[in-house]
Amino acid sequence: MRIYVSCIALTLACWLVLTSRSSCDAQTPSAADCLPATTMLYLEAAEAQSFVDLPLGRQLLANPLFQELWRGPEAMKLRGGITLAEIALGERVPAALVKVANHGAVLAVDSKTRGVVLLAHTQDKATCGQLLGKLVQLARTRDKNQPEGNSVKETNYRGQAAYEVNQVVMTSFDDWLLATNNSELAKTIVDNYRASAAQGLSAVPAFAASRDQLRADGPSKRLLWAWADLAELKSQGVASDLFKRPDENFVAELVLGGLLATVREAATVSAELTSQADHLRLSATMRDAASLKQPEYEFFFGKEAQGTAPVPVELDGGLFTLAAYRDVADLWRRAGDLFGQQTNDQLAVADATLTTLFSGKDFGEEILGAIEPGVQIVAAAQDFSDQSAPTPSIKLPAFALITKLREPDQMQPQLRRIFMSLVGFLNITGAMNQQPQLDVETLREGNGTYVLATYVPDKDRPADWAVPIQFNFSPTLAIVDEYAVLASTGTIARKIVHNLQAGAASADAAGAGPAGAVPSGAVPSGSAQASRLNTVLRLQGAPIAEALTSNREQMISQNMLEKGHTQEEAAREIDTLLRLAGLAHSLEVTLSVGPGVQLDADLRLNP
Amino acid sequence: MPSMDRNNLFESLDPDWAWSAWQPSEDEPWNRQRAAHLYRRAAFGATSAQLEQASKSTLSVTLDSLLATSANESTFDAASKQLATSVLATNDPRSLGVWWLHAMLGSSRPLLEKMTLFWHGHFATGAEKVKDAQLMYDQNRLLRTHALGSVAQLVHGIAKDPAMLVYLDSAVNRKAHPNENFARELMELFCLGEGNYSEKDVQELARCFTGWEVRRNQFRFNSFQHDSGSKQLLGAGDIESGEQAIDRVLADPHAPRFIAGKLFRFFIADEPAPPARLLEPLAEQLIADNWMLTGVLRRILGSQLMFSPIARGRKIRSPIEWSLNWLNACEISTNLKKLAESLNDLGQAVFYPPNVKGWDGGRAWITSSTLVGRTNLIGQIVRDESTRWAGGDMAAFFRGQKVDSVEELVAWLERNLFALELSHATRERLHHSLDAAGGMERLADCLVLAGSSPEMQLS
Repeated sequence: MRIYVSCIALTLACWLVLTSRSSCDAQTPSAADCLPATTMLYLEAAEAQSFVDLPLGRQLLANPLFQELWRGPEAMKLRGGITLAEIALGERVPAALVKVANHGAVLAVDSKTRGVVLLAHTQDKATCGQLLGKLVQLARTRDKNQPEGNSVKETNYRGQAAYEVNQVVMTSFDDWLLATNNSELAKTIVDNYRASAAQGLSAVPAFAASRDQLRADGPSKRLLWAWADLAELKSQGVASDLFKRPDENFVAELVLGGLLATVREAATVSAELTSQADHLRLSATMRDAASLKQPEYEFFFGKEAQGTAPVPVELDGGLFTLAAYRDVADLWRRAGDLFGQQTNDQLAVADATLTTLFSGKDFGEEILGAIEPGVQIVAAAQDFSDQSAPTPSIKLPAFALITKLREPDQMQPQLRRIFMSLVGFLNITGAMNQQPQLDVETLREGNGTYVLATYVPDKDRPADWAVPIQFNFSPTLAIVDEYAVLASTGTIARKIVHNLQAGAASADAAGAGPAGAVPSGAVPSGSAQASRLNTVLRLQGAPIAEALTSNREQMISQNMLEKGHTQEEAAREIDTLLRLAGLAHSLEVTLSVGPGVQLDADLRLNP
Repeated sequence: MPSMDRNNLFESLDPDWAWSAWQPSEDEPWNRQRAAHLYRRAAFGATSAQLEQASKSTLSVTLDSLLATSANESTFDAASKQLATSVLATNDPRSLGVWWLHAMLGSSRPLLEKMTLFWHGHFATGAEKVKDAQLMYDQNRLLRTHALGSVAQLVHGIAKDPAMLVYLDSAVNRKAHPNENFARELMELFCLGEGNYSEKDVQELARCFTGWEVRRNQFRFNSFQHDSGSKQLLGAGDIESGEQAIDRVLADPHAPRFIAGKLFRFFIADEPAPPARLLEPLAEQLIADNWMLTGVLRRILGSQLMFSPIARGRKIRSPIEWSLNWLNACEISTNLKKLAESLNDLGQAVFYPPNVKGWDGGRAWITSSTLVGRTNLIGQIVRDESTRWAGGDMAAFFRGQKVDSVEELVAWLERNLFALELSHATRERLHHSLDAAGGMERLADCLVLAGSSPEMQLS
């Protein structure tokens, strides 16, 4: 019986959190009116029917893999819980939940009382009362089998019956059902509701401003909307790691520094989850982003926050593309302000070493300074079908770094020399460690120049030895026009060069350059005209699934060793994982900068 | 059966009696208890079903099965080879160690794996110096190939094994500066034992191995760097090549006694050291069998001494034996990477022996910290979310084993895991570890307690 009640409570709680709508009737107070002004976290879900009707959900439920997993032993407990809940409720779970969260639900956390409250806006007052009665009845039924006896305490507040079950207070008023772990919070909510005046959270200016900014309902359907008082969360010590400055992590600062600075300094954040056909989109906005104008974050946002990501290069079979405005030279120069002593010491050593490697040129000023701020990293699947070349046992995708040079004529010869020196260095260290050697050739194709290094197969190597991971690489430096491409293979370098040239040609025809322009389709819908894309990350599901599939045997081996599975068990688990990976069509994450900072993530599933 | 004097346990033993074949009798039948003893020593323990099957058979048939050397590759062998190929792609010897644990657990020829482990400890080679996983794997294959076969061929093979030569700094061995490392270890640690050769023998043997090199991870004989002059070795002249030198070392009468002594310690008892006369029949058999191991192993494993009370509980389980005994008995599949890490903490990481002498074994396995480590390891295994018991959960496994009470659990542990009867104190502790109502809810705690008991450390 304990499991019975727990399952029902869990199912209800989960669904209630994930369902409901943003507002109630104009005549009656909304959840935000009732919640105290000291609310620091607010999560509002649309009406339950929105979730039931969600095309993405239907798509997932109809997916053969999902159905297979649902019928499998792993989902047995969940299936049992749902069945028990349906017996208790006397109807199917979706239908019951549509009644429970007919007008939506709100989950909130209050900073003053530290209470957590769940407010479900039910179908009507009668349904609300019945639901409360059923929950209390279930608790009492469970208590009959407990040695401790009756755990349900009935109280009354302002003529309103309330029940306390295992430190959770439950009550209802009109068509609202309330559950909280703090009775003072429950009283405040009831008081505010009775006052019928907007004096609670909705009167807080920051909250009201975020609500006003809610996008107009277009073709997208908002499922969740959340608001957080970041200043209060910080003072309460919540998610302290998130607010900590990663002052000893150069890579974290380079990739996320500006965004994390904004999170540290912003007073509030709001976020919404919307759906449209086979898309699911999460958007988070921080309106008061003081970090945008701070000089030490110019490397991330650009001067006056005008930095714009380059147009993402899209390749056939591309796994992902990351295009971002980052002025690495500026980051290098401002390292003293951004990092702690340890990182600065390491950077000083690296600067000296790299200056030597780069023929005495100052690495920060002259090498990084010669590169335009926009950078791109691209990855694509490799074709290993060429039988004449050794096929590595672990198959890695190819990847490349694309940069634009400020002074291409001066930099190109230097880059070629440095690249060749690097290959020589790799050959010497490789020879010392019995590793394969690189052969170098310089090619000119069209107006592109390639310095191509290829690993030489060892003919004496026994055929049954594993082919080293190095054979995934043919390090290449490609230079075309003002671009320099440092790639892991010659093939991806060529593809990128063709892509850049084609982009330049089409941009010329359209009267604009290939870099610096906002890529079409990448601007978040509804964002302000003035916003600029700072960072774009695009992942493609099918090539990623393909890249994983090409390493199926490796993954099976790892599974066998990590889980002690037999080969058949491991193969079954890995194949399920690969099929799951194939469900995702694409994911696009963008960071746009305008008056504030907005982070968007758009997930698209395959039919 | 002779009387037991623990101080001079083997001194008074009659070698003829000791190595004569054990025969079942009415008083001492071939039963599950003796089958479990054999599987603890000749394998890494066994499942309840395997013990049941063995006990219904005979000792001779069980030994045939353990000593079987089939030229045909089993399904498991093929899968294991494929797994090794995948692991080698990472070139990480630590991962290779995990692969070997997988092989030890799943192989249908556990004695082959156990003897491979024996030779790995004997011809100890450490990956922290060799670094190359492929070389370590190739050496492991060499050990496995000859694990139940010819000692002579194994010694010849190991002398040209790139991993061994790299480990003992013999990758470059020139006639102008003969490297004595391998020559010294060949006589002291691998074939003859300390005190059975002279310093001059080491120098002469080193000359024989000049020109034996490793180039691009493969053995190469460089005739230009070989000292082709005549050498005197162990009292014999006209030795020229490394191959001839190895044959001469193996022909020394100390060699079969030395190997027999190592086998005795591995299979019969950690201590005390047996007298030479007790080992003599085994040494004679090794020579008579032209260094083939099958006969001497069958003799040791099927001997009166092996099944006498003298040999019972006379060995301390190595960390690998201790943990794999658990896994086999309880039909556990678990995260082998974590297991390998824990074995490293307990002092037995395969491919990483502490030095060229290998693991000391015996009492050296047990210290206050390793005892705590063993307790933690069994706790980690039973609570790891990836752990499954015969494909299911722990409670279902013990239900399937017809274990429904504390008494039945203790009896099951005694039948399947322990070499000796549990002491009253251990029995009491196990009873108290389960809840007052006598239920099985705290089964995991009970197993952890059993794992830390003194009896569980003995084999």
